[in-house]
Amino acid sequence: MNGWKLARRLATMLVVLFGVSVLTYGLIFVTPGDPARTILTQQMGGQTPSQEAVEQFRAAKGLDDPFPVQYARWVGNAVRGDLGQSYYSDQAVTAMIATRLPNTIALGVASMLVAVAIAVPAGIASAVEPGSQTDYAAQFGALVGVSMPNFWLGYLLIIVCSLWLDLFPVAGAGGLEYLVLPALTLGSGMAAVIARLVRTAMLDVLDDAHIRTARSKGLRERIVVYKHALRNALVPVVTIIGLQLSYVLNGAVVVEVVFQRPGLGTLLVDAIFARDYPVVQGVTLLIGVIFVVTNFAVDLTYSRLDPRIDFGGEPT
Amino acid sequence: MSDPLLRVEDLHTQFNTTRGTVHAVDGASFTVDRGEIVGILGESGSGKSVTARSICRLEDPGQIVDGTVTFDGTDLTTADESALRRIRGSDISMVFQDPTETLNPVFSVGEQIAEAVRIHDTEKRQRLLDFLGVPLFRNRSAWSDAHERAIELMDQMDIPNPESRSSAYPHEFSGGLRQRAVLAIALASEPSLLIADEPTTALDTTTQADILRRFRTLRDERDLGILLISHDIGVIAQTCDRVVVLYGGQVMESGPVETVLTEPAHPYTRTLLSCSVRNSDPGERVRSAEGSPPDPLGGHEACPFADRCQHATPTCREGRIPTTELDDGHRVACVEAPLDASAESPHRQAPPMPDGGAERDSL
Repeated sequence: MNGWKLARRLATMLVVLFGVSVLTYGLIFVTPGDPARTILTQQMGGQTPSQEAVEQFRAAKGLDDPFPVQYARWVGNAVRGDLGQSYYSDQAVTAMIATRLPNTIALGVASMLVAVAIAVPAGIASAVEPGSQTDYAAQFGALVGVSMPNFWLGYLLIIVCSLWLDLFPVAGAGGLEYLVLPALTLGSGMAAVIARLVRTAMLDVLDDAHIRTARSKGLRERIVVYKHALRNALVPVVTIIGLQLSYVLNGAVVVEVVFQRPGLGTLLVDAIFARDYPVVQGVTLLIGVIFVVTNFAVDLTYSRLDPRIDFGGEPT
Repeated sequence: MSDPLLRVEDLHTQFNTTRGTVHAVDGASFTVDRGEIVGILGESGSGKSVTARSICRLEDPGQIVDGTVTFDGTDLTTADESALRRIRGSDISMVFQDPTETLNPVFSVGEQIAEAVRIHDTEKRQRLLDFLGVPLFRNRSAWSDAHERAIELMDQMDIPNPESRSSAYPHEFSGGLRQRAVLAIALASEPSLLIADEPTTALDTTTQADILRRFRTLRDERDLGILLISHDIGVIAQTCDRVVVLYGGQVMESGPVETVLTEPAHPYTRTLLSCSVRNSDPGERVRSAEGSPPDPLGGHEACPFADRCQHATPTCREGRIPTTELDDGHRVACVEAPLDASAESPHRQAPPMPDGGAERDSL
């Protein structure tokens, strides 16, 4: 890997993050609804707030300043680790995120594990015997997995596993038992996408001449498949896994609501309904940052997976 | 007379395609002995590579439907997968055409050679986790021995700085070095038979000469039997002791290299020789054979060359051509053989074409 390319990549990342922050901050202004009125109405128990109260609120929160000023103030604070306070509780957004983030990370990691644990063996089994019953079964499973909406699968699992079989708690967060159903719900959709990609990538590699060399050395078929072929098929698979991270964060919104898990997803949804701008902006920015950083990390793993790939480039 | 190292008898390998059954190898027979290099000469599509792969039972998706492949007393056509695996890479090693493609791009060259060493010394069980290199499950000392042996093998193949080169990846090697690394893999198990499928086709001429010289050295020093598959008469002529000329999946002619290449008895062998640049006079146009190789669909109940042959008679199209032995190991499958010595090879003069086809210079 070379330093120049690394620096260039980092610079690109900053540009992307700038774009993310402008959009994050700007989109809120386009959405209908006045936060001052919404919030004051709620605080006053449904009464229409007076004009002075609204203006006072706006002045206090800096909502009267022109957009660039507001944006610059927000970014300036964000860089210093301050994402502002919630309009409701006056709690720091960073603190709110900090209490919710571990739950979402746990969900993300668990569902990714579920996805990989299902997808890789299924994709390999398909690719080793294309056209076999195993292959058709795996492909049908993938089709079902892709088409099934998360919320539907979530409720289905709750009904079957929690209400009928009484295996897992219905909702909430806590120990591992609370994680099983949400992770299955979120993981199965990703598993479907990854499994199809593993299948395609493996089919491609298994045709390569070096696989014949590996066989002609006298290697067991299992070693040929899991060492020689899989390792070559990993680059596209790791890419898609990285991209699926955005799916984890999107999916977390739905899944956390279904399972009533206190996470980033529920925090975001609640904040959107309440027009709690600082929270919405903070969470969205964090999701954007996670996404950009993950993609960068995926790029870094390429050159480890395939020595022909110079950092950030194509195979030579 | 003792049994030869490898005896292929009446081998038939077929592929089932949507167009019908392709008879890629259609009754080929030949032998390879220890300490001799046997060449299989033929055009593209003549069934050379499928023959080579069938010997190691790597013919998939083709199927061996008839015939026997006897290696050192074992019939490989009936052996089970685990017996084959013990023979593959251990007693029989293979070298394939393009060393750019045949080395795994994501593992270091040293690792790939060491793997071949390691397979050889753990014949009983190859444990997946050991080969995957999972730290707790990897037998560290056995692997470091294997890596040392790999460096030794690289040194024997004259790969410069083997210690540092062993951790390099295939794409960091030149074509010639890569093919030497492939040879090191093939020799890791000290095989008794080496099958080389077009080993020099992807290499430049000087590298080619180097690899071929290594084959001859291996034959002389290790008493290795080598089956060298090539479409290049020059390669066969410089390297082999005996040659088998393959066409349409059938053996047209076989025998000692000097005899077959200087006194070819089969019209096909003559055509091949006449198309060789080496046999053309300076300034003369190089000949090309009229027509294209036969469609292997459905196999041949007659001589596969009959349609392109200038000497073809009705008998040629009426059934399998018997093989006749002319003299000490020189066999030919042609009803007209031995061809009249006065029937010059076609590029010297153009005899009338019985089937009305016209001979043509290549451009």
